[in-house]
Amino acid sequence: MMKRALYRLLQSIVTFLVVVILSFLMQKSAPGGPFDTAREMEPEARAALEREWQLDQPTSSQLLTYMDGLFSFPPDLKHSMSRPDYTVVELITPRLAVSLSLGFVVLMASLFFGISMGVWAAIHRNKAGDHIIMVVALLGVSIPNFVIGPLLKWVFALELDLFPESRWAGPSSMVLPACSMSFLYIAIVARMVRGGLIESLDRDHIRAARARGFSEGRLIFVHALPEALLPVVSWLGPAMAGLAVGSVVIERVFNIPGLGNTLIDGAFNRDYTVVMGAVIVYSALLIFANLISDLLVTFLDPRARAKA
Amino acid sequence: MPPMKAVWGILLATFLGACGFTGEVGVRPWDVLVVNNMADPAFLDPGLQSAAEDQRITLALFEGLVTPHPKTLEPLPGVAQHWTISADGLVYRFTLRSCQWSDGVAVTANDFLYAWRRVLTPPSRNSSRKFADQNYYVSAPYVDVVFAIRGAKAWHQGRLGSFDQVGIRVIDEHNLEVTLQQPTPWFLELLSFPTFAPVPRHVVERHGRDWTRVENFVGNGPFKLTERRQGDLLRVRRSETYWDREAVGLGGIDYLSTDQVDTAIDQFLAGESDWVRSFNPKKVRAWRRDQELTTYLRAPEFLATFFFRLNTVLDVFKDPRVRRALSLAIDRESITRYVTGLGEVATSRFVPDCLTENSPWPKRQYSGSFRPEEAREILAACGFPKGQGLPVITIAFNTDVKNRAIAEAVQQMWAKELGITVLLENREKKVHFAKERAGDYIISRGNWIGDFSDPVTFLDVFRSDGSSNRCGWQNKDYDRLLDRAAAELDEVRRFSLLEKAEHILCVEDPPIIPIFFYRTAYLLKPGRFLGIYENRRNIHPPKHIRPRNS
Repeated sequence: MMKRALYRLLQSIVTFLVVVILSFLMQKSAPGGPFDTAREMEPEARAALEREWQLDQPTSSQLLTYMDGLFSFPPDLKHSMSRPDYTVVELITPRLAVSLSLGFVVLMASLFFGISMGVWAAIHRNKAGDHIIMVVALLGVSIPNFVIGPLLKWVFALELDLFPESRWAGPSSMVLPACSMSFLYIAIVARMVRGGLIESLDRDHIRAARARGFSEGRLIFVHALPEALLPVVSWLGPAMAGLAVGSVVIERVFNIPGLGNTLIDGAFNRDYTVVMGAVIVYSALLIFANLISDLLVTFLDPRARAKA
Repeated sequence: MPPMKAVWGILLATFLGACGFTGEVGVRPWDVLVVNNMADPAFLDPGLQSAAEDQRITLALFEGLVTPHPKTLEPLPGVAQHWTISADGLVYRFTLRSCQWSDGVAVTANDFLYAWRRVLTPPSRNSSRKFADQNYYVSAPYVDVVFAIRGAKAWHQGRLGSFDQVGIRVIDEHNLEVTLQQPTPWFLELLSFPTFAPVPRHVVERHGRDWTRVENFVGNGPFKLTERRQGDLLRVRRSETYWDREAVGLGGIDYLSTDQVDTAIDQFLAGESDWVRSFNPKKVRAWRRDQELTTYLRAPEFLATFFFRLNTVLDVFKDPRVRRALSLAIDRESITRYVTGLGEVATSRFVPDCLTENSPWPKRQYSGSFRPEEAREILAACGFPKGQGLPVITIAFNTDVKNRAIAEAVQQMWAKELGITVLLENREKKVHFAKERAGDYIISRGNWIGDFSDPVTFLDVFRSDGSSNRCGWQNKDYDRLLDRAAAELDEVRRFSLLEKAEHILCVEDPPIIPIFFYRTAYLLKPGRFLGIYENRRNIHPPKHIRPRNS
């Protein structure tokens, strides 16, 4: 167990390093730079800017300087190139908070509605309620959020005027983006829970328990559901990271000042330091969440524990 | 297993809790103007600015020696109470009024000297210090507007021993004398440019490049900075220290950062903003059917030209006749009528017509510039009958629905009229400019926005050594005409020289193919705010804007 955890940790660190170095190099090799504009800058001013941001040095030494900053304590992610009065950390932190709180709401909604719907569908297997839920779930998986988002916005913000149209000002502005993003996750969770629950309700020990006269509620929630939730738990890690990262489109649609928007703007403007900062946060989140869910599954599932 | 009911409860409570509140949206004071300023502002330091979004905010936070009239753009007294100009047009003497920075410190002539010296000096000049603490100097993207001052360019390029040789002289706290390199009739207009704005030396030196952060910020404009949320909004409120505060009608302005045009329009329609600032309406033709939007849409003439650059270094474009033939085969009026749709003015010239309002620059008719027959004859005479023998031509443009549509129209016109095969190449913005700069293109979409109201701001671009030339084009006669015009004091003679130069640029030896003069589009609810006038530079000094019932 301990050995496996250490091994996975080491693996994660290597992955992180590879991601950071690759993104740095890819970014530098992309054509166009931060100071390429329609109106040419005076050569002296341009040269001074390039010196200031060390763009006049070879890529390898730029990378070394950057890594040096990244692995010092506290990590120095430099100043933003397009907003030099702010450090990248200062720019990213509030935006990460926005993305994370949106992701958290979506996650809670998905778990609550997804599990409820999945349980309901499993209990009423092959009846009308089950079919309706599964059709809705299929729709949720199939319709991309950049379609749902504008649709919800049109109906609930522009026509009915129930919620703010966009921006991030108070929890009511969270509702529409959170709904747009939740559909997919609710659908995934509902389908997973339904499948798992149907399978585990058919198991011998459940049947035996039922024969002994356990109440149906206790059977489902205490004995069958925890087992059925295992796939959800292992899905949770990547999903949590995916939620933080995956809100890029929705942030764009609702003009939310989240990390996704920052990354896109940074990439278009060749704000190298901001892009690196966003990539580092994203990859760290993704790798960490995967690591945790991996370890959690090993811990929860006797089969995986045995293999480990 | 934990009690499932408790878990259930927590999940539900979190979700409902998150949904339950109502936010601050919708509540705002009646005298606050909410503007969709499109892109998130980058620099509040006037010296560092180049984007229109930033410059709009500067008009609220800073005041230069002069400020533009909201309608005519004529220079009105700003920090300078009055000024005199010497007979030879070289020496400007400004008398400054008593006024204050937003922290109460007096604004003096030294603040201007400091600001201008700061933008003129590249950071490298001070190589003994590390960049991190070298906050005294900035790399100003628009430093070239300051080159009108004597010795400024030489100092910037490191060819001058002492800054005393630059034509800026502080006589005393309230008197500033500026000597120009050569007569520059538009110098006063230039002075309202952000690059010429004063900066508070006492604040800049204390905080370095952090001086523009909200907690440190000090300006001298009609408004002061109160809040900045990155990627969301920037908030300014009326300044109590501004010398002319009684004349300021607005209580404040909220600049929303919404670079998605559709989202900005939705915000506007939902009543969350009053004014969608200049944007590129990709769907104007669809809008024409939408009564509500059409009533809000305004599209005044704008001092800017859409054109194509031809890479004159390439063999195929060595012969000016080939370039002229390509230009003659484009029906610009079809493009402005069916593709752009804002009422843009089709043109085969480079300097926009809207300059004519207050100057003797002639307004010309475009009609008659589309002569496909003549174009075919010229091509045949050059050895390319019916386009045979011409290599495949590629038109490169930066990602934009309209750019693509215009390029497609040109592609079809050339195929139809001249029998030329044309390919299109879509490039991401930064890639486009980088490749254009490196001469890596055949034909490239460009635009130019005038910095001031004189033909020179356009014609200087294509001087042989012009940094934004990018066509590899060199024409001695053209340079000579511009030099002669620069030394000419008589307005009429000067303009006739400039007209000759434009004729070389657009007809005789054209490195470019102008297509139309821009209009700028914005959405504004009529009647709620007064003092917003249409003008050719799309500049609206917020000092003059006021809510209707004030």
